[in-house]
Amino acid sequence: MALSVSEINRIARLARLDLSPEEGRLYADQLSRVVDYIDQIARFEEGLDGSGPDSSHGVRLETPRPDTAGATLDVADFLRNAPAALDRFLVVPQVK
Amino acid sequence: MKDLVTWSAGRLASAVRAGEVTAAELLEAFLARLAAVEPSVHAFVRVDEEGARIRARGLDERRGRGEPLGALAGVPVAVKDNLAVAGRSLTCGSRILEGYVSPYSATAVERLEAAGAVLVGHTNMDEFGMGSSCEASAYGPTRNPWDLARVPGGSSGGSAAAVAARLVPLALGSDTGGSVRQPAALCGVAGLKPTYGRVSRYGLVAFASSLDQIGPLAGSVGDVALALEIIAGQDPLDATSSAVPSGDYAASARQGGGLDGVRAGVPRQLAVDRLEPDVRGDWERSLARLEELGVRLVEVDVPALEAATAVYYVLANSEASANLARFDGVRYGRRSRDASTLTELYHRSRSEGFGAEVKRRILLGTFALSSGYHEAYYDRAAAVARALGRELAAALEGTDVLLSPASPSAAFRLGERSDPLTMYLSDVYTVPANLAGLPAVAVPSGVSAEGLPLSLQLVGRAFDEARLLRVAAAFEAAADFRRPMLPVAPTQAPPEAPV
Repeated sequence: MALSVSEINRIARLARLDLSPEEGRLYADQLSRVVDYIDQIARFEEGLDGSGPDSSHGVRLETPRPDTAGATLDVADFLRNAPAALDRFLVVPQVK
Repeated sequence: MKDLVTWSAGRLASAVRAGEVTAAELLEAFLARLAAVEPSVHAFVRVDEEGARIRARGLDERRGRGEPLGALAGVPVAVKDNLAVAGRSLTCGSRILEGYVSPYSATAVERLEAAGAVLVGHTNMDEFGMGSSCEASAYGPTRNPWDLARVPGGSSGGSAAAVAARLVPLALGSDTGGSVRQPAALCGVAGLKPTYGRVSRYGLVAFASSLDQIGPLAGSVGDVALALEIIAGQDPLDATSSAVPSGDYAASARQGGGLDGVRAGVPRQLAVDRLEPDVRGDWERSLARLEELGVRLVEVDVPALEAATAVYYVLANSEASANLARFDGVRYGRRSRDASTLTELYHRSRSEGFGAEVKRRILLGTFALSSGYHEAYYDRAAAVARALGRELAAALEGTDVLLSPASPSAAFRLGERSDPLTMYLSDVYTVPANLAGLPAVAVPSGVSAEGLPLSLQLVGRAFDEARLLRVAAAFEAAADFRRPMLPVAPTQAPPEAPV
């Protein structure tokens, strides 16, 4: 399946990435070939279990730990990695 | 004891516990080797010599006071740059995490340190684990100690090269689709991906959460088993870590003897006739050697194997596109300086911070999860992965292990695989074990005509690492492979890196 540059740019917006025109062309070309390769999965449809799309492909969670409050990361320790912080809050540019 | 850097981790720890050598002396021997060799290999992104020296002295003092030291007493170890160490930088081979300092340690790291290991530093990797050559690191490529013009494999290429060059006897990597086993194969060391859930992922930066496992790389199967024994086990901080009791893996690897009665499955779908002659020849010799040890080879049918690489690149990148959404310039990591709105901040921070391969994979994963394509790609891939899991489990009902080459080729040259799809196919033999959650180990099996290491992969039943490592160690002992002290001269300038 060929992915156009405009399709790549649409996906990039969903992924919150800005692509240069050159990147858009490069990724359209490369990912079209990758998706062509991936399309072979369709050949293996027969004999599948038909279980719903909501189930994961195999991860089993062990018994969850008790739902009780425990220690968490100290806010000051956490904020040491923040690009900008004020008191106990992260600072970001205005939301538009 | 000039040859300390050639000793196994187990032997070094015994010597430290017995007082034959101090942890400080041991560390200096490895740091001297590192000073001489690391400029050529570039296995590390950060080395913490002072921290390691303080730690080694502390261990020696503890021994002086008569306190018991652990199974890795004084053993220098390295960990991949996606494993958190409290108070230390962590960058995942990415510019987007420059300056990040881990507020806590990964459980696997804590367990190594509790066993007496001395952490030397963080090893280089393809950015966020996305690559098979270690070329996709923001900090420059690592070089294969066997031939500095070649890649060490990836994404745990720094860990594999560090062990191969004897900069450390033991290292941790992580394996999402082969990122421990493929570089182990290309560097001529042993590398294990444990069963999903065998080792806690707490403190491992997520790439694809349903596939990621932390695994050890070392000069021998015995050392890999020793490391697994230390890092394995349930952890309340990782809900996917398993309550299945872990085993005495080091003893299993030491068991020795023949392999009479062991049945090894060889999938019909391996397509070995398409392999390079050297790899195919080594594969056939490995099978013959196993038969000499008493193994009965059985042909098994795993039809979904042919779709595994395609399935893997859908599922892994779908999960990656979600996991890497957290890098947005708000809470940690790189923040673009010229964004005037929050949306611009997200876009610019991510676009400036991520490298080309990471962007490519985020785009692929976002595509596979997007409206209109989700059913055809993600859902279908998940269904085929479940089918593959059933087929592999059925094949392992009648066999003890499954066999394949660990890599379809020996180490390739830097810059040789610039096409993403060609690079993705480097993982063709390793991804099935991740998709099925099974344990798998790469064991050096021989050397190519060009003098490069080749490797056999053995896949075991879920949580049956004891049997897997026993068979692997017996194969290793019989294989025609001796790891030389690689001739990386201190003055040898690395070849220029391709752009």
